[in-house]
Amino acid sequence: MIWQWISKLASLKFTLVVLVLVGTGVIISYRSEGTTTWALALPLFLFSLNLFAAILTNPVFRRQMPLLMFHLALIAIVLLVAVGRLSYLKGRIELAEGEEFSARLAEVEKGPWHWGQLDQVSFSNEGFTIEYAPGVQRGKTVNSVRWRDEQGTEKRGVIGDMVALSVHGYNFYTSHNKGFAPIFTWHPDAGGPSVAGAVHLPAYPRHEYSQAQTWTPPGSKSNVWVMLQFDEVILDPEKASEFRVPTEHKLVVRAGEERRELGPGESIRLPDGVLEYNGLRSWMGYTIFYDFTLPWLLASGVLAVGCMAWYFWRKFSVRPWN
Amino acid sequence: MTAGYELQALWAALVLYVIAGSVAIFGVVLRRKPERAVLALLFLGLALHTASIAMRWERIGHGPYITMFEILSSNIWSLLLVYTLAYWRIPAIRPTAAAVMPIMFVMMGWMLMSNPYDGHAPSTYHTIWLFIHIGFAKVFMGTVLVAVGISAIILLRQSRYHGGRFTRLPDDKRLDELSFRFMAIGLIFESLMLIAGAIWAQDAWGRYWNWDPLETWSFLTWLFLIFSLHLRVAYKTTPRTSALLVMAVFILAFLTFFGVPFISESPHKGAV
Amino acid sequence: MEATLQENPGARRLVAGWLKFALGALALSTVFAMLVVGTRTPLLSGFAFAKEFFRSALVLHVSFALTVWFFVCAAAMWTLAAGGAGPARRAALALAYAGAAAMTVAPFVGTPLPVLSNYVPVLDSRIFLFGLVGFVAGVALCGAAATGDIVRRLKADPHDVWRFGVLLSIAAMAMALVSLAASMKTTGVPAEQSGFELLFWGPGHLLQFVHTLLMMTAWIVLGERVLGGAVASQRWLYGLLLLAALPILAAPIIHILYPVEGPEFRRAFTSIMTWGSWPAAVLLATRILLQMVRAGRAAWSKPEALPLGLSILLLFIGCIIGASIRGETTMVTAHYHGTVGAVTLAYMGLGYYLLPAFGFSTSGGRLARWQLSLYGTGLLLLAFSLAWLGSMGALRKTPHSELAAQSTMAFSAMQLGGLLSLVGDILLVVCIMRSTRQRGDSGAEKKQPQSRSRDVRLRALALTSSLVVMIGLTVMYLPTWLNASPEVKRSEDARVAHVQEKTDAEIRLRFEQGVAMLNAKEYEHALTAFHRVLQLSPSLPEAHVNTGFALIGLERYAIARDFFESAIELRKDQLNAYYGLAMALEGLKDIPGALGAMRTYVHLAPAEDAYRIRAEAAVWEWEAKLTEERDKTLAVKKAGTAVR
Repeated sequence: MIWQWISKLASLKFTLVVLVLVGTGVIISYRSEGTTTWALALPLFLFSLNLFAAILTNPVFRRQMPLLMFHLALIAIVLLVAVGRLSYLKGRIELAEGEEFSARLAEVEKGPWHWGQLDQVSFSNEGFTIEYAPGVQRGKTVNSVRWRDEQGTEKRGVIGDMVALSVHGYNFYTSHNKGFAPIFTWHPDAGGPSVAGAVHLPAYPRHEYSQAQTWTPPGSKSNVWVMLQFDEVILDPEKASEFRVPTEHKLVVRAGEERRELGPGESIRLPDGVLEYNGLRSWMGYTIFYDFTLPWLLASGVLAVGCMAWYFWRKFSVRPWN
Repeated sequence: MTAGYELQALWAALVLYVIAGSVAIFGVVLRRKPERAVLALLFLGLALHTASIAMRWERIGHGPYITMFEILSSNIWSLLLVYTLAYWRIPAIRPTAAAVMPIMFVMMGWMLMSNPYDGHAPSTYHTIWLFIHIGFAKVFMGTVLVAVGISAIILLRQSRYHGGRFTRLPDDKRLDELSFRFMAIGLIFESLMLIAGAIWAQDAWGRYWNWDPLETWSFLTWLFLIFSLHLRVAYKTTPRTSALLVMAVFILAFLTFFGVPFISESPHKGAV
Repeated sequence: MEATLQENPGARRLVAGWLKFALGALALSTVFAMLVVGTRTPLLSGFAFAKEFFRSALVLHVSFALTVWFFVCAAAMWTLAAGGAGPARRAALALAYAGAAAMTVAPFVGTPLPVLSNYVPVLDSRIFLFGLVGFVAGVALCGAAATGDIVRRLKADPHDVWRFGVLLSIAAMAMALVSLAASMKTTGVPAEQSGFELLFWGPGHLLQFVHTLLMMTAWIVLGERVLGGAVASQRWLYGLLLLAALPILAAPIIHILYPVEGPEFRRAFTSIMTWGSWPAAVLLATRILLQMVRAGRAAWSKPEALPLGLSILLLFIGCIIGASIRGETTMVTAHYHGTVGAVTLAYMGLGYYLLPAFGFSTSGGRLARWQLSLYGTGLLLLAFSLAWLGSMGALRKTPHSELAAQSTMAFSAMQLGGLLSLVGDILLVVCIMRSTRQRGDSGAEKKQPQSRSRDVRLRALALTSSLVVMIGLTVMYLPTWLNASPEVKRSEDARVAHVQEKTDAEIRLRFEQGVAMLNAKEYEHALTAFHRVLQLSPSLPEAHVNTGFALIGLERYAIARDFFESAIELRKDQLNAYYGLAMALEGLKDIPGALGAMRTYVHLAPAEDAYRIRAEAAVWEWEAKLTEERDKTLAVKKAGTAVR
């Protein structure tokens, strides 16, 4: 009785149905905005059932090693993707030049069983340049970073578009998200230590005309609005240029009734403290990615293709092509 | 100045292709076998086309994979390369030129209507994985094209128009088998293409798969190819059905590669 | 020998299981050997991972090539000699497999410390050690289970001399295990290199007797085949085998007499090797060779003649090189590549010989001959080039490839030899696999229907999972190509500091080694170590002093004196330099000079100095001696003048 059920599950016609379901799941994933693991999880589960049943009953799998190995490698892929989805992490963080990474990510998406050590990661952004071709066409990103490797040794290096920093299993990639970051020091009146910080203005050059930001200094009640103004052309449509901090700029600061234009070193008095402007730096947005199944996923994929090629080779060499 | 030579070489190549295709079509219509002539014309056309692409590459500093014009040109080149090689080594498929070349004419026409401006290669294109990924994709498309040619013959034979022109070709079963072989090879290369693409994506964008339009559609093409292979085995499809399936795969692949990158806004194109 | 395989399918399957294991071990050791060779080349040794991995790869190469391969072949021989099967034997096989699997996995789990102890290098990791124990236990169990049957069969048919050799090898193995247990009582589970070194010294030496006995056994079987008759009289052969095994009886005596950590223990076992391991083998080899020469073409045209001849040749070369060992140089490496090659070739020959008994076709003659020749030539090249490098003073166990610059010829020969033997190893696997695909018509197997297709599912599962794991690990460990990593900026200072740090580390290491050798009275080895220290740090007075002491140990007083003098020049108050100088001058019969030096020592040495008493005694003695001589001379003079 059970055997008959298994044989039904093993049928190729069921495979066809499963494939259609997978396709549907794919389209659903594609069209919806958020993560849609579930749309695919069911069809893939059915696929695994179908394949297991086939391995148990279909005589062709008893004899043809390459065909079987190919399908087993596919199962390996499905399993690995499942494990990957359970333990992955994707996130974003923006770091200003000189800023140290802290595990508070701007945006994070992770699997339920992610048990990584993000808080053990120690790395800082040491500044970057990005080349631009004429017509504001983005070119190479060159970002100096400093980090501590797994043994705790401090290292410095250069990462960029195709080169990521990999530490404790997490990969840090530079992105096209970058902009300017005025640095402030807040001296509260109430005593207590002065706090330095960076304010990240909206991405440049995407939001070229709205380089403004509102925030509240820590422990203060005042809302501060800053806007960056500068005249020079940084990214030139006519010739090759480089993303860099403008040499001459003004920072318009508004808090409550006060409005001042600050240069580096100047300060503005707020009701509960003094806000000192220290200068303009850049910030870089990093994407963070963690998935330890990658090497095995690649291995399974390569193995699958290899077995497929082996299978077809054996099949096709029996009779000539002509 | 070099832009001039480059375009001249391209024109010459296109002319040769058109002559080759026309000769092939007339050969079938008039029941002749001008196979040597077609082969020679194709090779010559390819040589000139290669020269044109090489000159353009040298001039602008990156290969033909940024603008629509370049992509069409390089795909015509690679499709014809794979097809010509098959034409040369497997005489059985030679009559399919009459079916394949018209498809190429369409692509050539489209190319001529595209703007041949010089694009800018995003920095994520400066990697060997680009060449590996694109290389696999081109071989895949090429093998599918050969299968399409064979399938066209099968379908034409069963239509009213064949007038006994294809009787000297192997029978349908044999043709079907040949078409299947090319699709199988295509499957291998498409799988490799997907893997290489994932590796490239991981390095370039920090994730190996994101269901963006190009990734999604190429996966659906792959899935459909798998589906048609299983359908063949499960229902022992007739050559006609298999031929239709092959056509469907080709249309899907074509839409994926030529439609999606240019109608979607996604980052698969490289961002500012 | 084949009879056992033909009569009992259970035994055949067991032996096949051990032989497949052996083949796998050889293949794995080849992979690791490639890594060893790779990390020694000037090109690849620049990669960071290379240096760290060199020692691990070396450990695993030797483990699989020596420990695993030889033990597994031994177990196969034991099972072959015993015939019969049984749950105990099958359990032994399974246990050994499991142990070896653990050993393979060990280098990838955490960062285990490679311990390059002699004879049995290990990784200081729980997984590796447990695996090793499991593996050895499996092999030992196999031996124990086989003993009864072997004895019985030997009694029934004493003509099969080879069974006697096998039996003796089991005895040697047992003795080795006893020695291991005895050593462990002193060392416990070792925590660092010196501990492992002590633990494995005794058993490691005894194990070589196991391999030698089995090699001789293989020779007897192959020789019989080549010569078409017995190699020598039964009594002669029994006697030779006994002679080969006799030295192991010394082991318990050594254990009782000497403590494990003492220099006498070390030297005693070395002596057993130096004097006891080769005579019987050399005698047998000579006899076989002479017989083969006498038999002429008929013998040499047999397929078994090639492995037999090569094995004998390598043994001779290995022994000659062994006699030329003078320190911890690559001469040692050359020696054991020769002898290990001899044993391996004997096993390879035996393997080919046994293939028909399993029902496989005798493997394609040409490829097999190529395989054996390549392997043999590779090992010969390796042995020669390592010996050459060793004669120039190259040290063992280091990845530093400066020697490549010093002698590109020797280094290239070494690389070539390594390459050839690796190719030979791979070809062996290919040959065996090819012949296992073609079933021969030896009639040994129960005839199975030709179209029977075997169920591949389990194998496919195993193969798929292991391939995924292996390829995945490769992807993880292959730097840069797949995983682009940031260019790390190094400052000049960092690089210089790094080099300095590494040099200092080596100086320390060699210095300690030298001191250990001095204490063990191994003066040649001490010299080698101190020479290296002096190379790296020419103005280290302590190094000069210790070199001098080593030379005194070797009674080369003149050179010793020079070293002590340079030490004093480098540091005026280098105390022990004066002591040493005094001893050197005494050796040169320059008593006044010795007296002067020793007086300085006494003058400078603190009151509680350990050697003060000896120094003062020497001073007193020499003063007395000189006074005596002076008096004698004066007396003679007086006598002379008196006469006048």
